[in-house]
Amino acid sequence: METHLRKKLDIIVEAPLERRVVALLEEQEVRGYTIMPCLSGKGADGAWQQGEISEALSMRLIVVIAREEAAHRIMAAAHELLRDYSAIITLSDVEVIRADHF
Amino acid sequence: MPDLLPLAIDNLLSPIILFFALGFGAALLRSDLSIPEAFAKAMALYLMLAIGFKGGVELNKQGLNWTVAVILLAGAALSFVIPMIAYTLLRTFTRLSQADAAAVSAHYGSISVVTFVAGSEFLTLMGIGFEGYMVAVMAIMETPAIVTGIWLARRNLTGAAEVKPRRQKGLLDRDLMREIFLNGSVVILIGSFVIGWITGPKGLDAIAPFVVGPFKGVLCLFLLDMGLVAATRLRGASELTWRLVLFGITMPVVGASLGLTTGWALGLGTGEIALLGLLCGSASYIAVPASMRLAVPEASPGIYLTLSLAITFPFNLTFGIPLYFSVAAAISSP
Repeated sequence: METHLRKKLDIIVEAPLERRVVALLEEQEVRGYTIMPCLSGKGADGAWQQGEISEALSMRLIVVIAREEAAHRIMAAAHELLRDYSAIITLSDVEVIRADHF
Repeated sequence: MPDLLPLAIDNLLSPIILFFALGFGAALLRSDLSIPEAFAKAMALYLMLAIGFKGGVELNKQGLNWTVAVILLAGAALSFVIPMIAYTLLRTFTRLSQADAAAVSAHYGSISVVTFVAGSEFLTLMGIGFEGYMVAVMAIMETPAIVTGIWLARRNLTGAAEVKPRRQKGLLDRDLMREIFLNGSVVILIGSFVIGWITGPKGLDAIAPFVVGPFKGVLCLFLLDMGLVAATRLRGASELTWRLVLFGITMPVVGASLGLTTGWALGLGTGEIALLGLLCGSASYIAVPASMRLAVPEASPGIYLTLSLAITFPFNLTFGIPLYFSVAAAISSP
């Protein structure tokens, strides 16, 4: 099967910031993204888990697949947006089947 | 002044407090008891809808008057001012940074809906009524403290040396304004209040089997969940010092004193004075944390959420409510 190389951007971010990241993705004109809830974890700000009364400490995983140049551009913009907040941004290589979608 | 001990015992032995204790104990003993998140959220919405609606209906029966406007203004003013007192106490007696102290202060200026609900149930148990507008006072007190907290966090104390967040667009940007003023809990509280006010006793008759009948049972289940969450948070609290714990117990009494005094000065009845004291003494753990994560990211949620949820909330629930009530009963005019 023929596959095509693309970049996958994983952004783990606090739930209150989800809307801002989505606005940034729309600004960068990405063609699609997926948002997933995270169950629990631990980081520089201590442990957190889904299901606390306040949503403030819940985290979201936002996944974007894009061409290399666009992915780097989004990564830089996301870094600028999130540098003061608890967030993890990673970039990795993926192979996709439908090239025209990403 | 009514004897405090029997009041405290009556309160401690009520089903809602016992269910809270059950949840708290279960989490401390690491039981796998848990309430699904979506269900807990639905219960919170239900409680706010019911309390808002019933408050609106009461206001419809009593009608609007100037007292309501004055007490609403007083509530907003208290919510603005209390964070400044909390901030001064924290900066004087603890080693919290400016951002942490400001974020904690915002929580203490704002209110806890569940504490208010538990307090109103206690008043009902004591046979004391209260005016429906107290629900509107609660809704209005939720947000001013957030503005004060953000201001306290961002004002420049040391001239140019203070480190400021990079993406700062004035005190409140659009996103933050929406988070603060259109927060889900504020919308459902005020919305249900207005609906209750418009529809009045007729509306209440129509939906009483939903908003009145199951209310106490749902409150018990919700408090079971609150107990689980509070104890889990306490177990993982690594940033809590004894000075902070002391603050978590002292600050509600300081805030409540301010509320009780204001209620007395405005000539309110026992029920209203007690609830105003309780509102001023309670600390937020739903609306404010999300705003603080957005506006003051450098403040640690491990401090502010643990203090309000695991120290102050249980304190108010168990000892604060009967304490503020007995003071209110003593100072209100017969």
